[in-house]
Amino acid sequence: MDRAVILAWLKVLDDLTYYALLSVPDDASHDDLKRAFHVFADTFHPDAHSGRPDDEREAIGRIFRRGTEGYRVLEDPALRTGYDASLAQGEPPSVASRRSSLPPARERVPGPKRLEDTLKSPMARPFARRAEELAKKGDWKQAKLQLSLAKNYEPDNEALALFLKDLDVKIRGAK
Amino acid sequence: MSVVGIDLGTTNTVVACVRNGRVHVLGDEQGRRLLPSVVSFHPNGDILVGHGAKARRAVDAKNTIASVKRLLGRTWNSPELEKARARFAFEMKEGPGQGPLIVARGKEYTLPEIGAFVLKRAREIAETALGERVERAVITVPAHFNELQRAATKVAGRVAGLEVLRILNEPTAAALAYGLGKGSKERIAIYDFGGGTFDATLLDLNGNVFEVLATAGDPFLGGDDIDDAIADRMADAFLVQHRFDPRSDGQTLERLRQAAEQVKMALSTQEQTQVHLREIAFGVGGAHLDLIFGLSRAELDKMTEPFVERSFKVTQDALALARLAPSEFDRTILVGGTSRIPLVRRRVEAFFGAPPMDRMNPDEVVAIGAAIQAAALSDASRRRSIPPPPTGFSVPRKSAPSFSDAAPQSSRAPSSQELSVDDDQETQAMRRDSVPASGRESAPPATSRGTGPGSATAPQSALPTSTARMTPPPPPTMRTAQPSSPVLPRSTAPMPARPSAPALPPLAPSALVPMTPASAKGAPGSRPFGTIDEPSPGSFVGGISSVQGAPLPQAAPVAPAARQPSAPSFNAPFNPDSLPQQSPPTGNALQQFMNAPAQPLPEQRPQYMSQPPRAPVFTKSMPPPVLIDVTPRALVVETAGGYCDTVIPRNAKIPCERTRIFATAQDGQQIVRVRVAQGEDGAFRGNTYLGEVELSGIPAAPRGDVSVQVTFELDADGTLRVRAADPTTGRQATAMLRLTGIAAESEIASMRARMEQSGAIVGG
Repeated sequence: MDRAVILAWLKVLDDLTYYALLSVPDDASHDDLKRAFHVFADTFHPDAHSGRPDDEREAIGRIFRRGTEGYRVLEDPALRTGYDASLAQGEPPSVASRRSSLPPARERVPGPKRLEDTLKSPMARPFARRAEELAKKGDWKQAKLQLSLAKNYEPDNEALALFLKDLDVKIRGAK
Repeated sequence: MSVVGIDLGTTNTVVACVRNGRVHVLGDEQGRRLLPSVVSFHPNGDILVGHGAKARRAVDAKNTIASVKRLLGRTWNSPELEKARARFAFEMKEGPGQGPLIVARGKEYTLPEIGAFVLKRAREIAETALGERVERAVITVPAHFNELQRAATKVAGRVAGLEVLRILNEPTAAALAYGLGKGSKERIAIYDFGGGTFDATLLDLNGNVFEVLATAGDPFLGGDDIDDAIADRMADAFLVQHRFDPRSDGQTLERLRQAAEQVKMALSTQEQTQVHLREIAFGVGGAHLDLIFGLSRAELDKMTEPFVERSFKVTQDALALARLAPSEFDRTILVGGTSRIPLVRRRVEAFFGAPPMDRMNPDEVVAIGAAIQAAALSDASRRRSIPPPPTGFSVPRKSAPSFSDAAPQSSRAPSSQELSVDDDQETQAMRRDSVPASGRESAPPATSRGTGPGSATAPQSALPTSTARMTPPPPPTMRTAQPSSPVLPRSTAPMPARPSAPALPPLAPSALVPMTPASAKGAPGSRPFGTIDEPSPGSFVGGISSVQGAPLPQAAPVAPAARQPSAPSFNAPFNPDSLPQQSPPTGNALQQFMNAPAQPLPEQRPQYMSQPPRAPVFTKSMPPPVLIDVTPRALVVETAGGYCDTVIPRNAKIPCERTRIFATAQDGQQIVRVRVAQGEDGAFRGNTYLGEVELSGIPAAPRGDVSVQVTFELDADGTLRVRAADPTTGRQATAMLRLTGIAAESEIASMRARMEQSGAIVGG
């Protein structure tokens, strides 16, 4: 009997907002959320289903793991704001939740675009990062060295080329 | 066959079991309930475990292995092992796969094997006490244990012939022993100061739900450190008197440590103590030199202070994680032998501003919690009924139907509509989506691995493990749910509609599942938890009953011989409703029977009956506990340049799963190796390396064009499963995470075989 219900849950799982999943209103307070999560856990914790066949337990575990993630996001004011914004922009819950599960540091500090963000190669990124740091300090020569190392990995990158040009100008100016 | 809870401690091991709705801490043949976690290899081939082995420490330190728990799951090159090599007298060497080996009497043993000797002895004690075989157990570990340590503990259990139902955190177990059956809503702090490790864990207790808010620990902070400090002072005293340093000899130092432990324990009840150690060394002309050493409690307090200070730093760390202040806790629970030190108690009281709960024996409370969890997990009839999913994708404000509200409707809902969408093809297609291409044992959820009679499930009954597909809205049954905010199960407001769902009309034929005998039996109501031997299951009624005034065990209670007279409060039955200051309501009668002279046990009576009840009494209507624990350390993957990226942050609630997407780093890269570590360091190398997952067969493409989706899944054990998948092809990694230094299945089997053949384990 429950099997059909579990199946129904799985079908809508990716379309449920965390609010719907945990059965709380959009304006739920921290305490509301905790209460709701405890009821959710009491219902869906895999341990509460030790008597079920493996596949049902696995399915219930999936619902529960989504719930712990939802609780984490809604419990953290910064993550919750981000999540609400994604939903408000009309993103389906599954996409919105993926966004909000990024580490909070990234979520909170969008910042200006860094040079390393333009790079595809992860090998090149540390060099680009170092180059940018050095350039900020005014050590243009060292920055250029780091940059040329980065360029080895991505010779065609335009942002790198621009930055290099800029450095050359500065080095010449300093002379 | 019984299931037990085992607290495998650094210094002592305790085993407990739920019988007839009560927890019993099981004693050995002489009634002793603490089994020293010491293994000694005797010249005659015997393997001594426990008290006998502990005694051998003073005479044969080289072949006597203590504190092995500190080393479980550590690699040969780890700083922990270096420290241990300097400290312990027994010989160690590097084995295959960086696993350390212990050498005793010419034989080599892995660390899990040494742990297994202790566990096997604990199992024997339980089997003798219960009069039946014990094959399954919940084993506890410190909350800060990492993946490798947990895995190594599991291996130790398996080598000892036990199926490990769960690796449970010690502080969480203590909380369970304290809180189950209270039915109350409390915020509690567990201060767990053991022989080798310290943990601080903060929890919200809400009826039968235990939510861990935060945990922090120090793997190198324990009572042993205090012993060492005292032993150091003894050695200094001896050096001054006789110009001989006893630290130069491992054997002598071991004797000093043992004496130091005695001094420490004596000072918990006395203000002043003195020991006389004979023949520490030999002076001129072979005259033996003795050491007479006295210490006052004030001096001990001064020596203990720095360690206590460190414990509060760790506690602060946990509080910061939970964003709470010490004053926000309703109760503090002391766990571990070190918490008996009066200074520790005073400081905990001052820190949290409330007297700590001391009605429970800090040595036994963890095993009690483990036994409770073992009983709950082995209850094959446990299955909560599940309400149907919400119908709308967003819940209208302040009118959210709660699970509890929804439940009654769910049971009556004829779900024809949802069944009609679930035709055969649909199910098959979904399963194709979800089943990993690789044939890992846990991959296909429903097909071949049924449990017992349930394995007859037809293939089309498989439930998809992952569905990313938009489906027609589920049955509109939720419309009837009364609007109300979620209701919590409390003792006054019994959990609505858990049980006895009237049978639903059968599913559409294609989705039909043959009812397993177990599920059929479970339908009218779960078998009550903790009533192992009771014949009539009775229906599962929500709500929590008080344990107050619980009846005594049916068997004529007999005071066990080995009762420690020093701490009367620990002898009282556990009664969660009584505050520490109050005398237990049932105290008089119980005190009388416990003070009664010991009587010989009738032969046929199982030994456990001789133990007084120690912990909550379970009733038929008590909902089993639900534990939501956390992971103590972040789980990270290596990224280019030796950095790492957090996939699951520290203190995340478990079970949980997180997916991250990574891009290839090289052109034409066809294999992606995802290296996994645990810790919070920004550099990958600064963390504990766990292992790697390899995803091969990636289509050749320019770097960055192919992305790999890595999913980390932490189960309720805190055990990690890592899957890697290529989202473009849907291909899943064949390999699961293989932990470094952890024995493979075949090795476990051979260790187990060796264990069976090894000489007799001698207790006592």
